[in-house]
Amino acid sequence: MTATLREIWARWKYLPRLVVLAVRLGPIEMSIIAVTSVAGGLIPVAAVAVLRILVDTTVDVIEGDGELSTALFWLAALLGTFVLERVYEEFQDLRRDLQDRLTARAREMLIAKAGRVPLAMFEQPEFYDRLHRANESLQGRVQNSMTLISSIPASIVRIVGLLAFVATAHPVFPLILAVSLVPLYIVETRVGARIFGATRQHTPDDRRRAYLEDLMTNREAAAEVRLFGQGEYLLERRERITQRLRGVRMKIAKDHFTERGKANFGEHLAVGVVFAGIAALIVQGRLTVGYFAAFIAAVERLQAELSLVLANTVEMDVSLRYVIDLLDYLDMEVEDSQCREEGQAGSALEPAVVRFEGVTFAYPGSTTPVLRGVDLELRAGERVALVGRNGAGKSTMAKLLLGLYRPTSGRITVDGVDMNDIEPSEWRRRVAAVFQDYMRFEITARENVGYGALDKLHDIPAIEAASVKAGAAGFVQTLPDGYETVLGRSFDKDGQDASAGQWQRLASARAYMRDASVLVLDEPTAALDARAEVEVYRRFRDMSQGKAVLLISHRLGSARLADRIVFLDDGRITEHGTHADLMERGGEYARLYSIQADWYR
Amino acid sequence: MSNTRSGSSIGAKTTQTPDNRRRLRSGWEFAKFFYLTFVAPWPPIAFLLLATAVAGAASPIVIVFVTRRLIDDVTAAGGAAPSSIIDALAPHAPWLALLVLVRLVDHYSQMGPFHYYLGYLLNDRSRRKFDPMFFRRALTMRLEWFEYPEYHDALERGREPLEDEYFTWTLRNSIQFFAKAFSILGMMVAVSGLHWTSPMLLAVGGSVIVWSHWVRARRIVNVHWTQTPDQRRQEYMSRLLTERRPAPEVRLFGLGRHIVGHWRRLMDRVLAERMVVRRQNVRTGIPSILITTATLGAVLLTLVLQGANGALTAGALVAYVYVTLEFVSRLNDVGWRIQVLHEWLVGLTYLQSYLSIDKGEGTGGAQAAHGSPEVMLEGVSFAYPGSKEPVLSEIDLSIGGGERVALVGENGAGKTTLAKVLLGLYQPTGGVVKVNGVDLEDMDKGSWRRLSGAVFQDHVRYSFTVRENIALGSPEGRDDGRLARAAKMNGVDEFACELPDGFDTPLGKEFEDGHELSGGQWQSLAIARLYFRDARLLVIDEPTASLDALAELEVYRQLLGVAGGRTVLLVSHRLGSARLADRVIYLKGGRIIEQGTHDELVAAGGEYAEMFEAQAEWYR
Repeated sequence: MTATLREIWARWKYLPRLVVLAVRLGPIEMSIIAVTSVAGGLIPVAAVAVLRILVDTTVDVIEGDGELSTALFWLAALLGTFVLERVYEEFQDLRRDLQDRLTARAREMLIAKAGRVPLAMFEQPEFYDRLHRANESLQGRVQNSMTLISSIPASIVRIVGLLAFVATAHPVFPLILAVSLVPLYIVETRVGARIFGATRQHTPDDRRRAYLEDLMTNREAAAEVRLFGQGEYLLERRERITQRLRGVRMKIAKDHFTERGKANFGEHLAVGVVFAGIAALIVQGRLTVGYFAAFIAAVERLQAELSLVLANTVEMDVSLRYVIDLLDYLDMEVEDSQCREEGQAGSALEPAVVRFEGVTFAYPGSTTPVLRGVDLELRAGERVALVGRNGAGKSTMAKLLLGLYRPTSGRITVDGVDMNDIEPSEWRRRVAAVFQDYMRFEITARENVGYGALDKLHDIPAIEAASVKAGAAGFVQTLPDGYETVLGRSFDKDGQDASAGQWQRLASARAYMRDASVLVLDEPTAALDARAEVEVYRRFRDMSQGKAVLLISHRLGSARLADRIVFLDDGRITEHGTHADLMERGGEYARLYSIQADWYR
Repeated sequence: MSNTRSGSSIGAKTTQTPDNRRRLRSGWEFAKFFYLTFVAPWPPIAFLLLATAVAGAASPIVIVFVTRRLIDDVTAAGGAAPSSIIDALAPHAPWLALLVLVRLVDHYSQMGPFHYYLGYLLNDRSRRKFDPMFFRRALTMRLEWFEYPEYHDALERGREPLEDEYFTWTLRNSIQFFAKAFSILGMMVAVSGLHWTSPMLLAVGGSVIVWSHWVRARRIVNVHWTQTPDQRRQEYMSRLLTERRPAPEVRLFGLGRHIVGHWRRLMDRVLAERMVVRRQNVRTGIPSILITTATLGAVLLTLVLQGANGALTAGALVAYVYVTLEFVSRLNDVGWRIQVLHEWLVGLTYLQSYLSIDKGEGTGGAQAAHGSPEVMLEGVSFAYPGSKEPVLSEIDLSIGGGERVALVGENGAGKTTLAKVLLGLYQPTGGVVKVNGVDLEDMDKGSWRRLSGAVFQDHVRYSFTVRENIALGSPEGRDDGRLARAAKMNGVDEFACELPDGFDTPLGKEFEDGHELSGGQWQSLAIARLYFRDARLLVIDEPTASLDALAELEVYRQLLGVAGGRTVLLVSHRLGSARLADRVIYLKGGRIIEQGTHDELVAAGGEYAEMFEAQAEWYR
């Protein structure tokens, strides 16, 4: 028992936090709600009292010892309470606006958080589970609890009023009504907990199903899915998951139905008992007929209100479980304090030497290291080519250099300072990169480039200059609205398609937007034609002084342009030197180089 | 001749964007739809529910009768007040019991717990029917549709009813709507005993409420409809922050706040538009409340006056008061349900109109012949929907059965598009693609697809196991021996065997135990997928962009081996590889400007030669 209570407390203690959140997000609305809910709660009580007087005065008129005008006066009063109540309800609809805004802000917090957690989080399924749950909880439950926070006070006022009224007949009546709801409370709480448990357990399945649905409906996979005829296969996989989820949910629904049926019966029985009691009191002459009419109405209302409050309390209790998921997610650790403005290039940091010291790195949840004891020094003004077989760890090394991952052991120092001691945003302002998996932002061409340095998002000359450097300017000029053309056609009917090579050039332009001290080019020419490739490599060769450039490439001809070549094999640096050195050595690099050169002989 | 045919068909399509704006224009349409979704899957239960709802209509009449008798008896008994409760109640027990019983029936006919359960059952049935319909439709939709933002809107809207409990809620609301509506009718019959005008007055008040809710529902539905594009954009923005792929760039360039800002602006707009509608709705609601109250007042006034005339007993008075008040509260409930139900049902029509966007990919009768196909492009032009600039202009190209053709050219020359037209994924806007002399449009797409296979530049990285990633090249034919060979051919087995569960290791970090591969490894896997498919026409788009030199060599060596006798179209920027082809096609601005063997083109000293030189430079 105490364990159960403790559990309940563990959930309900989050309620104040939720209320605080609500008040912070909409202080005026919340105070309006607080005031009107008291007033709104009293209207039905008044209506019931007026109803009693109306019936009694009318009975007097019928029996010939009352004034018609008195009855008419109370009739008008009843209509008055009726109008008030309906108008109050009308304005309740506006309350939904507040809920919408609260949910919107909470969702904003959720996605903002996702943008701030360390990159390594994205390597862990648990993160996606938490994110999914937080999202789910936002979709219905948080909104629910917001509604409840604002509607429960009015209900309580109403219940107290009606209970007091019913108690004037006999104090035992309210007690009977309240007790009859206990079974319902137990049933609902239990079912709610079961549903929550099932939902939680199903998160990975749910995500998997959403993934399959995306494959079937999204543009990215559309061509391949059609070509290879994968549709039925994907559909069948989805169906299997759905069946499994369905089975559990149906079982819960069935139990819910049988238990609830029993609980509801008790509730109606209690109402019958109260009716009988009232009838008895009338027979005994202790109550007037007006009371009977008013009591039918009051008991009816009270019953409705009580089960509403009960439903709401249970709902709140269940919702709080989900809310905890959300708050939990929001409490997740972020990368940095973000006290500085994001997205601006340039900083006081002028790194001269970046050094990898015995860096080993394994992805979270994996025991096999991708990098094993890498030592490397990168100096300002130096161009280094990083080459190696597929899966050797090149891109991972680049991400470590960019401060996106942290070494599992060993350290990376910037001018002797451990990178862990440097604010990540500070470091990132000094670096830039073109990734192998560059993004294709479905926004304007200008923004695609400008995202490289948000403070220059509207600086057209800077954007043009970066585009020229990346060889993207020519393509942008052919677009109908130049830099203001939206790329991609999912959202805008005037949007324009771009080819893979064109997207890659825009990604490069993005990197050129910042005056970085360290520049990483991860296969910047994979999708480029030969001429554009020449341009990119020429630029690499002529890269301005003071910059350290790391080029990852499988086009080994380009490695010759580097001051130094680092050959990575299975997470270790196995060869190191200039092109001429390595060719002379006749190792793995030389072998790969000559294989490629054969194509051009 | 054939030009005009294909030309007009795409023309017709562009004007007919997949707009799914449809309303429930008439009660008939409403009824039809309701029948289709809720009754048709399961007629006996649906009719049983309807029958209980109709039967529930009788309960107000009985309640009025019983209450009246009970009160009259109780008040008549006056005078000698029995002291014990038992004595007091005994004479009235039958009426009391009946009253409780009728209330119970009334309650259960409106929303008993079994309605909840039936809601689930029906949801289940409908979902089993609609889900596969929806996804099959999405899977056969012509690829061009993805170029229309309206298509994506329609998809988003049509998807709404596939939310978990959509049908459950719609059903519950429908049951309550019908049950309450019938009980309201019952109440109108019950008050006719008061005065002949009373049911009519209530009918007027009821109509006003129903009308006002209907008007509001339409407003809400309309504003939701217009908000789909903004909401999709919002979804895109939130995916940029919550998904794995954009995560490195978002962090590197510090885009978080900027993207959140974007999201917030869209959200604020959506909220402001909703607020406007809510205000309008309150303005419609208040006059309708006043009118309804007036009619209610008229009925109550009749009641009091009848009482004054001595035409009513105390019991009748109480009974009529009860019915009139209950009428109003149920009416209000019905009003809200109309509003909610309208929203839900309109969601269903979105699903229905998505399902009827077009008939999907052509399923012409002609079967593709076995063997390596000969493909002919005759004056093929192609422009993406909504764009006037053609990507391909009047391409004439014939690829013989078993011929290996390399397609080269600058970025944006139209290479990938040409490959997709050739594969029948896009329908040419002009000209015709013929396979062994048969127009591709007249051919059964399934049989053509079984003959062809491709590795695309943007190959898909399936978050499934390694084995499944390969097997998806030919989902209908699972053959472990062949799969192992396909994996061996380009070294997938080398890295696969080092994974913890070998070929059964799940890939993709988003899911449990998932492993991530490097860009090159993913590409190798995509190629293995193609090898696994026993296709006679291979389209290979930039197969080695992320591969190391050794893997690249291996891919080309294998392709030559695999290709033995197969028709091959190779798209590549690695011009050295073009040497392997029987013929090189140089594409520029959507036109073929050079073609011949590698040696011929190099000797000719044209654009191809220039490009080849530029690349060869690095290796001298």
